[in-house]
Amino acid sequence: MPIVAPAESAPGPGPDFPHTTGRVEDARLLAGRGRYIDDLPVGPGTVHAAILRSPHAHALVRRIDLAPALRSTGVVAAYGGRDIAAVLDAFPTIVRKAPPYRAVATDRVRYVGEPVAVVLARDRYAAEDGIAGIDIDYAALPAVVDPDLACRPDAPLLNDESGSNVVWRQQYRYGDPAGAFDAAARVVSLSLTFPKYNSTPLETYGVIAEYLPESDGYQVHSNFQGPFSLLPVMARALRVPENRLRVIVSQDIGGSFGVKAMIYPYMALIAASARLSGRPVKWIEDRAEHLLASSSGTDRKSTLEAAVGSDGCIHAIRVNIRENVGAYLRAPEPSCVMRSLTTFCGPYRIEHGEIDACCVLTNKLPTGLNRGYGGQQHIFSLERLVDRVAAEMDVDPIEVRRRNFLKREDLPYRTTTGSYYDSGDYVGCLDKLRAAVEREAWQAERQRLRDQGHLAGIGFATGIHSAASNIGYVTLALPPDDRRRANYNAQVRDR
Amino acid sequence: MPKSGIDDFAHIAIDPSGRIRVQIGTAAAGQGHATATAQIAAAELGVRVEDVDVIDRVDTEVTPWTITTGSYASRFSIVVAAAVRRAAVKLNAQIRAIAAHALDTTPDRLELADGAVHFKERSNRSLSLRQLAGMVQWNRGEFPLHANIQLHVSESYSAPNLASPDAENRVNAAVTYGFMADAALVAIDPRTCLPRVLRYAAVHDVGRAINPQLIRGQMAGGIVHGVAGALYEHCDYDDSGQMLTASFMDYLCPTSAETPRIFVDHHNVPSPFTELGTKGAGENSAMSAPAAIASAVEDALAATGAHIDELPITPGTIWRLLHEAAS
Repeated sequence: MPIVAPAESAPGPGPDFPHTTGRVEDARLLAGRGRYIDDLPVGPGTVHAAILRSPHAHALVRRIDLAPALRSTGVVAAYGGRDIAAVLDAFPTIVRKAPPYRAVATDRVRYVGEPVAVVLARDRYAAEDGIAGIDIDYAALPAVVDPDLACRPDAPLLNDESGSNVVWRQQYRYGDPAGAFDAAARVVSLSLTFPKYNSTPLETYGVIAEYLPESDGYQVHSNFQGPFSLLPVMARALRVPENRLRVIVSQDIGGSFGVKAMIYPYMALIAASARLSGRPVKWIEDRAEHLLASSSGTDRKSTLEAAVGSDGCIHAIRVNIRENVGAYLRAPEPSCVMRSLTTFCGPYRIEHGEIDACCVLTNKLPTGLNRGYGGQQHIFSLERLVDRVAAEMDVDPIEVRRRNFLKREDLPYRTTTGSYYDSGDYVGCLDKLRAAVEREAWQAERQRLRDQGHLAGIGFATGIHSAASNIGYVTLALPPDDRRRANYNAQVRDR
Repeated sequence: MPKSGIDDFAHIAIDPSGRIRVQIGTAAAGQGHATATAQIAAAELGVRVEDVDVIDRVDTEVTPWTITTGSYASRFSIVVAAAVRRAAVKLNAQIRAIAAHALDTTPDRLELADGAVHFKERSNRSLSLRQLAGMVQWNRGEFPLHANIQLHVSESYSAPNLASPDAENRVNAAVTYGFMADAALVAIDPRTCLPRVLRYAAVHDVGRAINPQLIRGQMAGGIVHGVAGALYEHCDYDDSGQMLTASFMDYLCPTSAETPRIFVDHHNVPSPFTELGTKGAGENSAMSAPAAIASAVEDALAATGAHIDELPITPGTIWRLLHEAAS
């Protein structure tokens, strides 16, 4: 009998998943048998890197003297920004106006903690001693950290060429927002500030890199979480095709939360150092470096307006976003703005919208992924707005949400921005939450706290949790004409 | 070049001892992807979770990968899980085809359960996966040469409904859209103005839970991450650009002492667009908690009429709002 596997697809959701207690990963981890980046064996001749970082928020680097480091015991090599630039270009980005973002600054530093030199030594202690000896002559420049101040004409410029700290700006219009605002019974507005913060995984960044002269390629071990769309970004900067940059992710990663996507400049830096020195190079970020100079989410200033009907239904919103991406706009930014753009209506039937968004450079740590990536910024904006609508229209905050929610029978629903909401029961979900809060007697608890002299309050928020991103959303950052051009790819600016 | 889509792969095999081995590449960092993968494979192949070995590794020279590979945007339960499921379904079919030859029947009369291939109708004839793997490994000559006898299959999954943005800037930016409803109870000490989140409740739609325990863990972590953004963590700088929060003395990472009593529940509506009905679960209240907590603090300060329009909400902010209201 011929053996042919029947061509079976996988219709329907499939069988129930077997119940399991604990995780199959746990036994190994709990027994101390995890293999994190710092546990990996290193090859003979491996040297250890320490990174000298700028103490200035904004300064010209006039002169750098590496000689004292090279005289330091155990030091094998020391490289300034220009040395590294001999084998490592600036990282490409889709935003043409963005100033070059390099793994090590060359002639100018733009945030405290920016790498300015790297020292390789027989061990990390010797490497740290080495960087302590490096002498750099800085000429300090005025700094700016607030995105609104950075937008003013008299603000210190991070990028002299463009004449503005606004490196990216796009306006988006969906539906007929002007008509909806003309027809509104009331316009509710507010201005918001969302902070810059991070995720502090237990394990910091780590890289072990080697240059492979036989193939003119690199081998890089790292606790990189992806997205692997950043691999071409690294390969381009290292001037090799993608298949000459072998990335090996350590078997275990001690938390990532988005921040471990932004290890990529260090992967490239350690790889470049390996090439220059002809030695395998290992670098484990310390906690101080991580807090100062790894990555963070963006801080955002925004103003919002809602066109509200007399029944409390929101028909349109206008959003103005000033996104602070720090000292450089680096890939995958400005996706922090894009990620929530096409869900600007949240779970509500808001069919008209206008979004005016820009990314602003300031003298702060550059940004990147942080769990939620734009979601927390946008949900904060939208939910504060909805609470304000409830207050101004004198409607209960839960009731105003119920009125504005898309209903179960409305889904699947194509938002005015093109997102395709698959399914859901927002009213039912919120009712279940309210029932839980009532069952747990939160109102009584709030009253008890108030009776004791505390200030106490109960608040609600709802939101859309989009998942499994379409990489196409990133290109919303480009004008439609640029997006369609076959040759429009991320560019290396200053090769 | 226009860009669109998201996809990933899974490889699944039976080793000579009859154990199932699944290979994925997610660059995981503690999410429990191996556990969920083992559950999906076990469900489709009729074996126990502990009979599945999962190798989750990315090595771009050795393992398959795509531009969208990685652990971000809550993609595992939608993309990688679907690839695992497809690979397992395909291996299931392959196993039945091989077993049909050995048992002199047709694949449609067979099913996999309890680590063996059985007849759907009651019969005392069956073939354990160990026997089947052993036959193929050690006695390959008994099978027809032209037959497609492989105990390993690869599958990929590419999500539907995703195109590049159109000329009007419209794009479906994700495969699936879950929903979150959160509530926070906040108390503020009137003397120190210190806010505390005492209770937090979250009811989310994750479509379908592969592993409810893992999702509860994700949600607890997301809530604490959101509490951090609302009240504690801040990369703060002075006007000259010096960072003021460069150590854990100043960068306030919440600990168990700052963690509220957490209530978590679900109100799931399976996604019609994803292979398993799943939606995302990885980011959850990390996105919604800052808004819920701001709302709760505003309620706590309702007597003052103050608005909470800025995070983090520090004791200093609350003191200022209280004193502005008093004067």
